[in-house]
Amino acid sequence: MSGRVLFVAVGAAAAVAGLAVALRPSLAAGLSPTYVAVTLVGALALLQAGGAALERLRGERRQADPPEVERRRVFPTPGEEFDERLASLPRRAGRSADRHRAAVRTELREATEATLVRYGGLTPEEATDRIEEGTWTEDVRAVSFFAPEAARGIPLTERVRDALGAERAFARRARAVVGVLEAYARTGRPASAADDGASTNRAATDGDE
Amino acid sequence: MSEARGRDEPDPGRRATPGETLDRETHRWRGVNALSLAAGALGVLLGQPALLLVAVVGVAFGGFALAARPPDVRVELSRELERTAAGPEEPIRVTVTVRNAGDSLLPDIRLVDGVPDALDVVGGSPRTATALRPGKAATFSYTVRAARGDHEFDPVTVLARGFSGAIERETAVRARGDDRLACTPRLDVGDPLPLRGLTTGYTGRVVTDTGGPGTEFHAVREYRPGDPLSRIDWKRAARTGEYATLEFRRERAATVVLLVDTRETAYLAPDADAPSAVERSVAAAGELFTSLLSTGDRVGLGAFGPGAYWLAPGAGEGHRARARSALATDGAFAPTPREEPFFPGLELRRLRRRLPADAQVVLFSPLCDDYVVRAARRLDAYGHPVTVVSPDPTADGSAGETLARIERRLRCSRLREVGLRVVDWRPGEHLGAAVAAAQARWSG
Amino acid sequence: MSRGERTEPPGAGEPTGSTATDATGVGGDGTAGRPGEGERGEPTGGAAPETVRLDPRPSETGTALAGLVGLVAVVTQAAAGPAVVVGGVGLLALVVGLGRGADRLVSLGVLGLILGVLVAGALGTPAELLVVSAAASAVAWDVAAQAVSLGEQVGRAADTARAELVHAAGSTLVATVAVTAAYLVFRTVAGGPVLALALLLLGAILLASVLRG
Repeated sequence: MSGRVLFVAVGAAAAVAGLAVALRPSLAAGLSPTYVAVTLVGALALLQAGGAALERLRGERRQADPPEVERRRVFPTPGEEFDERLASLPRRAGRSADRHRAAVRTELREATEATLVRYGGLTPEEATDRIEEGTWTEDVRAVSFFAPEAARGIPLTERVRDALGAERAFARRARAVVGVLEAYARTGRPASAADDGASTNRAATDGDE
Repeated sequence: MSEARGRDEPDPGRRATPGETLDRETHRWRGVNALSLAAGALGVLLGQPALLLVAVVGVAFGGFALAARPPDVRVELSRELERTAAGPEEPIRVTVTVRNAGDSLLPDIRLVDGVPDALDVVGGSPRTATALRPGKAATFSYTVRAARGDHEFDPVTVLARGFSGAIERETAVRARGDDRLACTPRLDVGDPLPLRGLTTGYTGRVVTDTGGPGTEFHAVREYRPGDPLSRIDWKRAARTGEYATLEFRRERAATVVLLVDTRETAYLAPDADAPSAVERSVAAAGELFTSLLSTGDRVGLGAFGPGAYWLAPGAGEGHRARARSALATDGAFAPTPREEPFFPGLELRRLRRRLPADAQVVLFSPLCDDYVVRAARRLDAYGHPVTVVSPDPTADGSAGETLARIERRLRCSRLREVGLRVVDWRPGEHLGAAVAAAQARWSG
Repeated sequence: MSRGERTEPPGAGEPTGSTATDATGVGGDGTAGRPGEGERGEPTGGAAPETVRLDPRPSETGTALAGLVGLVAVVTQAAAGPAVVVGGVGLLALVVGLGRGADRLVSLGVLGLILGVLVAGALGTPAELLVVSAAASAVAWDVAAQAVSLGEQVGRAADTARAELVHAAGSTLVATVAVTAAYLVFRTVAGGPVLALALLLLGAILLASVLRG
């Protein structure tokens, strides 16, 4: 690919040089044609060798890659797809980026509403309202995930850091939401009298471990 | 496809199927011609004829590489297993022999044995590289650790090259000899599981003239003519002169069906070294099966997943043996997910038909997707009380994992809200402890 | 709120520690069997062995072989000072790269050897030494590439000595033939114009390049 470009470039340069010498013979005063030809060929050869060397250094494997049979099959951990989605958010705005975000948003929204109802003791309507108003938690980043207007609450320095950081603000805010939900699950009290007492306790030891 | 040396080369990750050959150019000698040319040019420019000889040497190797052809690979492979039936964790030695059945030298032949998906290699190496003259053979061996299941060895991946190494041919060859390893864990229970409440086996009040195990004092009522004399509360009669009859409650044997979630979405694990949720479910089902049988209940077994398995509730040693064998080696409970499609709606309908009217269900599932919650509620609504034993495969190392853990906990809560009992069984915990903790919640 | 019992499983159910068996690879984290909870299998006698991981580094045999041949290449460059430096650095990179399984370093090492040959030639090394150096570099290239390839596909743990030695023998044979042919050509054409030889060569190489497509 780029070798071809180089060949063309060198060929073109040679043609131009040939033309120049033809028009102004004085340019090629001390050069013998053999010398020029050999130099050209040598230069081409070096370029080609360089290209080959670069390709080897890139380390692209051309041989068969047998499977790793030593280890038994490893199964996924729940939540891997969510992490994958957060990590691979398309940079360019567009329909696929929107779809991407919408998927993440929906999942987090449902989890937040359910957590607020279960562990925060709210009714579903109250939960929805609070999420939209941005009053469901103190964490500004988490709030701004669902209600971007509340993003004004984030200090400017942090917003600059978000914009410059490798991780998109979207992902950072999503993580903030998960953090808040985790805190709820750890310390919140169950809304109903259902036999969830000990399970919250188990959640409490989750935090202890 | 097989002999072409063109641009569309098989991807390194693609494997050959038995009988198919894949040829790949390794580009090992790429650049040798260019370097020779460069050396030659340098030689002319600098007037150093020796460099031209360097170029000749380079061209010789270039020609050597150019002359490469995919080798004609004809090998016979045979495999021998130390034992073809084992208990879990036992080391089993596997010995593979390769023989050159062609009539030309194979100077570079590499083999990777098809160790089954669910087994670990714990000693030696399942790979080898050697050179074989026609008719000669070589062997290599390694050790695997047995694990529950009926494991089939895959074909051996064979990679061969000529002397120049410029072209590689890949084939897959099935080895003759042993190709299955069956491992059946014992179903013995160390400490019996605390089962009270796990199954709702209590009937109403019964006047019984037999005491014995399984009866429990319930209440006293007024004497009615015809009550058995042995059940008269004589202490009270002596004290007050009135006759009263004791009533007992007899635990009736329950009919329980153990249902294991074996869908592909249930094969989850918190990390690479931990057993999968299905593995834990199968182990738990085995324990529970034995425990329930020993307390006189009738127990059945089913798989909710691609492999169809159904054992109607029954009792007896033969029944136990059937369940043990199925949980160990039936494809429905395999340690790795099956490829076939699964139609959960159909399966639920089939379950509804098969479940005896008075059967209750113990469902083993990691509860990591929403469908299983609906399925459990539906079974419960059909009139079969459902208890869920849920091995927890979640972790909390990242945002996604934490979210999944929260979502699972929410599913447990949703089930409990509608009256299903859920045993949240954490990794590393004994099943008995988890059940006991759950029962403390139910009765407390 | 009553907490259920939360007994940790007793030792027998959870094999910990490990007896390292042969060929546990680099980078393998210790997997201590599978923790048994509820699984009442056979009680494991001692500690459970670790899972073997593929160690994709070249074997010791291959590294030694490549190093040896590379040494021959560098030693024959000794007539020219700078060439030995370049070649020596290349040899070092080659051996270190093979030892660690860093194939980029290995490629650089081979390139260094070859550059050493070119520099030695440019500085007027006698043809006999130069040709041997070139041939040894080519063989080193091949042996190193073979070692890397074997490491990746078969691993360090497997016994690959036979495959490597047979392959090296083949390359050495080709190298010997090449050196002999080159030397014969040299002796024949020695008196005549350099240009003639060069053109012959040029033609051959161009033809070869075209044939490869």
